[in-house]
Amino acid sequence: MRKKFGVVLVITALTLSLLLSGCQPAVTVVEDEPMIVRRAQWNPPTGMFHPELLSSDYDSSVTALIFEQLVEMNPNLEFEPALAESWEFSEDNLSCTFNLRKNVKWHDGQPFTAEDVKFSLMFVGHQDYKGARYSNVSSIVGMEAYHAGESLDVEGIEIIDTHTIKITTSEVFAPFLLNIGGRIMTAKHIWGDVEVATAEEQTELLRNPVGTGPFKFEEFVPDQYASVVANDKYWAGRPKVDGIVIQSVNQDTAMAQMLNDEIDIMTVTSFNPDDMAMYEENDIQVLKALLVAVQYMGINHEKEFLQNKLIRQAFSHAINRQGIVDELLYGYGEVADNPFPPSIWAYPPQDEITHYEYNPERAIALMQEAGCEYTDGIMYYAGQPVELSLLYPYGNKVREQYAQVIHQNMADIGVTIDLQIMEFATLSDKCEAGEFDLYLMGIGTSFDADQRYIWGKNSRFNYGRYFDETSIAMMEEGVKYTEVEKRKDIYLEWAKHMNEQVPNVWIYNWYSAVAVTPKLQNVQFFPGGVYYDVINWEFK
Amino acid sequence: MRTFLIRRALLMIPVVLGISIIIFALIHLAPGDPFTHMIEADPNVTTEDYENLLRSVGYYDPLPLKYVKWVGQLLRGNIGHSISYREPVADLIGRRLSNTLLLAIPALCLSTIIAVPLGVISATRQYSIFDYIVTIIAFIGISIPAFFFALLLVKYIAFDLKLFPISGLSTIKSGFTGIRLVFDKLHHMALPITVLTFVQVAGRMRYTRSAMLEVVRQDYIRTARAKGLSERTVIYKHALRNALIPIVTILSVSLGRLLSGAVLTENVFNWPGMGTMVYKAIANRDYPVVMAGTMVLALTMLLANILADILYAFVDPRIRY
Amino acid sequence: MGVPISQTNRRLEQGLSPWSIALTRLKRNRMALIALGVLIFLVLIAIFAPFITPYSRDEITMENKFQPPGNGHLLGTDDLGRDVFTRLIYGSRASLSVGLVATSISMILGVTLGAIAGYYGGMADNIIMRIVDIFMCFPFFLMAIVMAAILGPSIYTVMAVSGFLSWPILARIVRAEILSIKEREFIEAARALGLKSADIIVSHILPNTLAVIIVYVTLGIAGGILGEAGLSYLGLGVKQPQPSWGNMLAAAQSFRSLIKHPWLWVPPGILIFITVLSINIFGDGLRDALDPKLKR
Repeated sequence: MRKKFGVVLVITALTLSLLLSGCQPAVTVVEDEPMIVRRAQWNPPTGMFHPELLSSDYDSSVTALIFEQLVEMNPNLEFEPALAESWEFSEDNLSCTFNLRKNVKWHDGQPFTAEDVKFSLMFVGHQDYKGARYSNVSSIVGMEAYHAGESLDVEGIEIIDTHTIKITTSEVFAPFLLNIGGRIMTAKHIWGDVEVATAEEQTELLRNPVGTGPFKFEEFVPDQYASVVANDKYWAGRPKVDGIVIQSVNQDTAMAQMLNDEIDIMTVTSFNPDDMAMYEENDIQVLKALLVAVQYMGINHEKEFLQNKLIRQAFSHAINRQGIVDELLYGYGEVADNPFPPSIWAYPPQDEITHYEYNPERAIALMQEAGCEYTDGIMYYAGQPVELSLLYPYGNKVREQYAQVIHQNMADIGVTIDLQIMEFATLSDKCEAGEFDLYLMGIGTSFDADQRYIWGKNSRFNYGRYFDETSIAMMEEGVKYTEVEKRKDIYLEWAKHMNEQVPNVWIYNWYSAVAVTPKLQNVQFFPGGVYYDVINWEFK
Repeated sequence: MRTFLIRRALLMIPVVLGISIIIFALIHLAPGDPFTHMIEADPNVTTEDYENLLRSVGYYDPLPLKYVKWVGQLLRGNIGHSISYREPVADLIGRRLSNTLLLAIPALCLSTIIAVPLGVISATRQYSIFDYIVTIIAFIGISIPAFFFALLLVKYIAFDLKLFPISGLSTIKSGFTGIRLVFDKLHHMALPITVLTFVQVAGRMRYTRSAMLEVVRQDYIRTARAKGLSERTVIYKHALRNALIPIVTILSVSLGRLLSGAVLTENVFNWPGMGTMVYKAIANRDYPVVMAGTMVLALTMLLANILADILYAFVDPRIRY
Repeated sequence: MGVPISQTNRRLEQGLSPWSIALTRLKRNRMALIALGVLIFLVLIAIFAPFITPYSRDEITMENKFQPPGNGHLLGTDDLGRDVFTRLIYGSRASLSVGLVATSISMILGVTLGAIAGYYGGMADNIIMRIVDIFMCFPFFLMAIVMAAILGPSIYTVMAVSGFLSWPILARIVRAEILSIKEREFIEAARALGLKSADIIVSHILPNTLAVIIVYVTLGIAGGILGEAGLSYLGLGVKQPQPSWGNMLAAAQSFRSLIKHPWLWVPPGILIFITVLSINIFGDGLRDALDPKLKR
């Protein structure tokens, strides 16, 4: 047996040396090695590479390189020509004529025409369309009938010639360019013959996307990565890098991989100075942008106690939001007191709205004014100590932390908070059912000022069931104009109204950041993503 | 033997039914739906769009109807279509299962190769220094949380020493072929296999040791010794052979455990295996994937148990079914 | 484990009750005794937690976060400026009680069902063993995740999950033991005397299976503590603000903390390790001590 044991040892040693031999640097130096950017994300792409059918950011990070829109938003949040060279609104603002670029070709060589535009819009409006973007195009004249299966065509989409198309809406539609001009174009000659109902099952087509964009699809390896290569014939010129790989990494160890030069670009999850120092030591660029999004504490307006705006204002004073921004976000955020994030035009001038600064005494006073009694450090309402449940989801480290801070801050004004952490799926289910007092969530708000999708009557996100006729009337008024100047005043009044009502306690608007390897130049990051002007990305 | 197999096969039916009903009920009882994650923050999705999505996957059917539908599909050979991956569950599982086996089988072999000799030696030299050292190491293996051990390896071996890649299945877009490709794969497998091996060695070594101790006390060993056979022949020819019976049986059960138990290790190393697949599917409420995935794991476990019984008969000539 | 017992001792053991034999054997096992000492010490710390530390468990001071050990904080502070040492001591309550309660659940279920199956046989045996088969096939962690989703994460969920998923093994062991015991003469005698089945099980059969159960339970506690740590890694363990060793150790999953803040994860890591190690060593010692076949 001793001999056998020796054999075992030898085998083990051999296996180990075999494994270790793989350790030599894996790069064999080849002349003109292709310049490939490795972008990391927390989950692999799922292979649903159709821009209007996909439902995950992990796929749109791939399709955004392959497909294009008519108009594109730039880092100043203004619209720029993309597939449409120019556009023109009619006098009455009901219709818009897009002049398409003439030299654009799909990756398979077919020309891009107005037919493709019409097809792309109608695809989203089709009765059997299973994606979730119909509401973007529903205001086009005739789209509702088409969606209901009552007609075969949409009058509101008129092809004037091969490269000109006119789209008409039934009412003035403020977010026209965002919602309609921002639709992503897919090829009629590829998807035209596919029955819309079966589109999601076309694995072959979905996994070999053909677009007009700066990169052509190359390869998809399920569970691991997708890659694209430079489109030599791109209308704005060939990208300077040869390709991009979008791969999945573990969020916890991603930073280690970044420092080890295993990936080139990734989202930064914390602004902790230790992290920043480690990036700096390695010359890694960290690009920051204030997101068009807000973290908030939702309030159940069906609970009688919470219907009093004084109570909600008191909460805003009670929570140390500035402390949360300073300490947990390391200053990379802004305390929020109104529904608009600072980066969009509707953000109100700061002297026009009330700032609910951290002030526990003021909070207690407001609660007393609302009919509460505060004795021996405990807040009573109608003879009962105030106890509220606070639901919040996993997944956002900072949110998990500030939930604890809220717990303590509320205890300081005598309010007991029952913290309940849960999966996101469970949370949204409970929110929809109204089984909560308070909840924490973050929401990406629209680049447009229209927030009826949050505060409207049938909104999916109005978990708190806040029905405010004044607010709704103001919002309806706001979408009747397309000129920003006319809309500004309406939304300022609305912001002031919401600021006073505090329908939910806004916590903060926050910065997001991406880390980029020192070699890679010209990456721009803004709330719309990292791909703006991707053709100028370049390796030093 | 044949009647035994038939009997076991028949007994499987109620067990499989029971497992599927319980898992089905549990996952559907959990609050939430398959789309919350996907269109979490998309402001343009209306309630109506959303409900249409849910209707398209039969979300509003009553539970028993859902179950009957699922079984019906299954009997027609269709294990379903993933909601979040938008592909047939069978393809998905095929891929994930082979990734998991890629870790599980080497880990099982390695840990056995290491554990059995160690166990035998520490049994034959009970209370020696060797016995103590091996025992302590074994206890360390079962006393450390697997994910923690994995994270330590990532930090010290992969990050500080840069000996192995931090995560993933292989070097992406490496262009490797042939033997280099194999090496690259092995290179990526090394750390996760180390974790899975280390946590298993302990248990198996202790098991071997006690099985050996048990056998050594038997009368026939005493007889063998009395016959004047050399100690080596006694231990390795007579004792080990008999001690192998319980060891072999526990091996097949371990394989079943390994497939699902690797979820934490897979998670740390971002290894796309069965465990992480089901884990993510649960979070996404991707019902078809959860059902198919857990059923595959449960069935492997069941088959592993049966295999254990058959092996038992095979190694121990006294047992006849 | 253990120390060889001399010839005289072996003679001494004859004529003693099995329990005192076990005790004598255990007393000679130095490793097991040290392990027991460590465990008792940990339990005492858990019980007297509030008297050991001047800080309150959940007191947040955001400005003081990530303080290294020293400056009045023996083991530094965590991501919200809470005292790590304090949370570690309180965390022992959660971790130890998860282990204990989970094992009690699995013991009650496992012993009851195993005893019924083993003693009555027939239909009852068949049904119970099929249930055991079903539970044995559940992938532990994945089922735990589903149950945590339904029940919502809390210390009770962790207890329930570990308990409900681990009883079948014990049921099998108890059943097997009972099958072998029930054919022995003294049970036949009890039956002949007209004792009720329940009485026979409780007062004659179970005491004879106690050795197996005790060993299993000891090791089960270790399993419970490790299970809680694993669930915490996935974010499904004991929920904040209540600390447990598992959810403290989960701080190690952030790469920054792994490198820069060792005081966050080294202490809970070591405590989990020492506790589980002690339980395993003690359990092993118990097994040796209680094994009637072990004649040395």
